[in-house]
Amino acid sequence: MVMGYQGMGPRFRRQAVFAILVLAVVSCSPRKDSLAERDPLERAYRKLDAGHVDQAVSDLEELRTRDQRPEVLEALASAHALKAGLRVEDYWGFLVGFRAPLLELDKIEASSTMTRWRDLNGRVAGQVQWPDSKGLVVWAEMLAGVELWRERIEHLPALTDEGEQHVLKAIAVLENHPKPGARLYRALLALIVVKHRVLLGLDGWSRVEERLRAFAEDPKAEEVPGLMCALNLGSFQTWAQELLAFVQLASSDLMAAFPSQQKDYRGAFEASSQLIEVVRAQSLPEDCP
Amino acid sequence: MNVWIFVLTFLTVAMSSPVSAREPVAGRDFTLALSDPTARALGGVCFSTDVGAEALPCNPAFISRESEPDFRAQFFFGNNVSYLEEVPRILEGSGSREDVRRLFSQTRSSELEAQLEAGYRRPTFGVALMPVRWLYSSRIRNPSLPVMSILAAEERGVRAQFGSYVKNDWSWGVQLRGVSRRYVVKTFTLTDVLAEDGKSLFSAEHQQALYIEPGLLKEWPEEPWRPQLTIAMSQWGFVDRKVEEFPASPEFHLGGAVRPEVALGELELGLDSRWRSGLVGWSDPFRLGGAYRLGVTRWAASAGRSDHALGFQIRYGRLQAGLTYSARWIENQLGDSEWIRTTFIHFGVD
Repeated sequence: MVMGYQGMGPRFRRQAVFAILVLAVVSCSPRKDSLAERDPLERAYRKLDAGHVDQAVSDLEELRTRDQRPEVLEALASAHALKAGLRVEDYWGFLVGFRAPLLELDKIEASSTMTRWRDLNGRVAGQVQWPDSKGLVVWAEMLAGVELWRERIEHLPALTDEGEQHVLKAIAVLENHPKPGARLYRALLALIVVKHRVLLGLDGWSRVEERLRAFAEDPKAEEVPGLMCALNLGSFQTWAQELLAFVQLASSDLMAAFPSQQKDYRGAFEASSQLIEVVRAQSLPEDCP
Repeated sequence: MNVWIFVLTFLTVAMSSPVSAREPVAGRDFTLALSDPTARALGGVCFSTDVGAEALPCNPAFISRESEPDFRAQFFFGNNVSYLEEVPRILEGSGSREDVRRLFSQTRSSELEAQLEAGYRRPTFGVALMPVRWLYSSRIRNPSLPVMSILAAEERGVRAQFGSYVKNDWSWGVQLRGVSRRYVVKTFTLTDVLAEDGKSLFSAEHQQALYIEPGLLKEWPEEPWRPQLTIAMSQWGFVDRKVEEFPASPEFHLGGAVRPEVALGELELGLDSRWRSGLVGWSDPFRLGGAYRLGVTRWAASAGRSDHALGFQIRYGRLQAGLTYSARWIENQLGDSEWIRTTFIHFGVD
């Protein structure tokens, strides 16, 4: 028997209305997302969290053209850094136990690099004339200073050459950023590049030392010009200038991030400037093929 | 039989496909919610019923129904913070790389709340003192340069209810509620905190609020199931400082409840509709809930568009204790649907 609505008792009508109302509630289509739709920056964060880094970079590059919030630039820089493989767990230890890798010029003479140099120089100088030995000692001192940084930057992540390109983009994005936190992040990225360059430089110097040791076994005066060319000191000059430029950049950003410690970081900045001048003034072997 | 229609309908609500809704770090449903086990289990249905387990009824019109003086105090606490293990290790310096990765790989917000409240009810009048309520909510995103949004708040409050029977089974009530809040609401990057003066990010701000929250109750005590209709307004008041997480934005509740006779215990079923700014879907306001008491135990449950809750309480003499479970359906930071589940404990004394 079919019973229409009018045929139902009042009690059952109330129950039916109640049940229909409830079922209508639960059968409705889902409500759309809220915050991510409102804020494109949150959408970009979501893409970074999900691993869609290229998309996030693309979205943030577009967003920065119309959204002047400083957070957009921070997000874009961090997206580039993520493309280089940099995640917070890679640099957390360095950041929380941060000690600025300041140049400790007074410790250079006691370093292992200078000890090895003095040994090499001692073995050769008594047998042949080093026309460029003064120039060589400058590089030895430079690498000795850089090697002292190794302990302080060992907790920084390593980069590949390709990764360094992404980090350089991140550094460029944060230039003149107004927030101290962003400047600290930029300094961190610069120090990561410094570590990459330091390792490259130390690797190159170890090959120089190898050649010098081989020469020191049987030094001959007529082989000195060829040896100087083979050491390729021009590449060290370029390397040193670029490395010191990044040290200057990091010092400058650390001054912005820690204003009360400006004196320390200004000292590093100025020491880097002086070294750049010393490096630039070094004469290089001529007539090399 | 009729009771079972309602029970089945309730189960249909509880088990139906929930709405996907991404929550802000500290939405008003968290910041302005009543930190009370019954209110948490019933949600907005608390305004349509008075199961007698709270310090004061949610709808002040129910204070007119009090028959004798009653005092109770309770402590309520719950959290779903998933990184409680990693943070102490990291702060001590013994945290591993994996600890750091887990801390900064959260895909949803983490929340914690706790409240201590004592209330006294008597016919037509009630007062409750909340010496402390703590709220904490955090959200972390971006694995390369973590961006953290946090809300941390400490509240103190007092509320008083006045009510009376009018005529023809109508009752009215009004609640005056004052709240003093000290809070930190901030979004910042990891390096913002570590830069000089990073601690200034966490300087607390203050908000004072005064709410006037009226309520009406219409009963049909002679009808089968003793239905009742309720109207109430909450969060209507004044603040000395506008804060997005603690808005002075009123909510209007229209609801009803029935108390069908059952063979054992007492059952109350209610439906509430909550109307306020920011609603999106037409079905968002509605919530179905119920409470059942049998002897020394009390159960309460409710379900809405994208969340549900269940609470259990037991009494032993003047002592009472219980658990409340709530689950909320969200879209997390990876764009995946996820349930946020929180378990609360409470214990109190009458």
